[in-house]
Amino acid sequence: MSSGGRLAEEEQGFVLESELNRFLSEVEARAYRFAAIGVGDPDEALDVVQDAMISLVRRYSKRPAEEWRPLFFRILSNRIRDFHRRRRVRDSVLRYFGGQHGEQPDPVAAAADPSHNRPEDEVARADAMAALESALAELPTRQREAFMLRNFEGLNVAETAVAMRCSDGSVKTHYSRATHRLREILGEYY
Amino acid sequence: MNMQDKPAERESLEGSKALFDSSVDTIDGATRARLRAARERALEELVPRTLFGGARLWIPAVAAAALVALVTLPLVQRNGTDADAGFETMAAADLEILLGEEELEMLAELEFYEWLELEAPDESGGESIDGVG
Repeated sequence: MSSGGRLAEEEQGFVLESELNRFLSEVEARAYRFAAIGVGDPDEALDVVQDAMISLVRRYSKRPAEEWRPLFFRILSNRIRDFHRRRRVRDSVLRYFGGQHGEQPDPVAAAADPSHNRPEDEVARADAMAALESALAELPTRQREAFMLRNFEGLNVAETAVAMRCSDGSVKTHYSRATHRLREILGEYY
Repeated sequence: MNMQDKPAERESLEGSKALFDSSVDTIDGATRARLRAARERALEELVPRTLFGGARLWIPAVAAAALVALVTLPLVQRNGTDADAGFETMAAADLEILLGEEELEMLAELEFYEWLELEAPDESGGESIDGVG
């Protein structure tokens, strides 16, 4: 390859790296909370997010940037599902050998930083968020994914369908069922 | 959020989104640092393709070629000319001498052999005392 061609390629590489860095920095905190709700453990959530980031860079960095968001959340959702599958196997093994029912997340470590707001507001917000997280945990996986992708991440139906690898119709069904079920569970909170 | 949602439902959805956004905003510094590290780790996956261009492909290829050359060169030389074969025989014989136990004894009695050579030069016919050379 000529030096001009190599320079152009390197420049493209830097642009790509810069765009990916920007995309990941925008999405990482939301992805972490998304994963934390999905797996219920802050450390596991960090691992899941890192795996999803690496997988996106390895497999989809050459895809158009506008596709990254749904693809990233597809990977993230897959990783969360993989986590639950592994945990089911681990828990069944532990039960078989008479061990504990898996490790429980540390509530102190999982608590958000309360330095931004008044304590009473923060407590109320934390209570509401805990109730919401608890309700989301009761939803079937696909309903939870549809709700979080549509409502929290603001993906449209088509993008959510890409992220969930299903049809637009399935997204609408899962989302509708999720909102109804959340209303039933949360009552006054919702 | 869906535009067809009823007003009360829309309010609930907006409330739950606001809660989620707030939980994102209050992520602690240590977690943010770990997320940044995770991002940097992920971006390292790009480095071989960007900073070094095709180096990721040709460096292992050159290393493999050098290894193959290192292994096959002596074999090629072994199948070379008769002169090469003669040289190789000589080299092997030298090695045998160096490693032979009796030659170590010769080195220990070097003064005796030097004397012997001086005493009887015509009998040896110019050859060294052990007939190798």
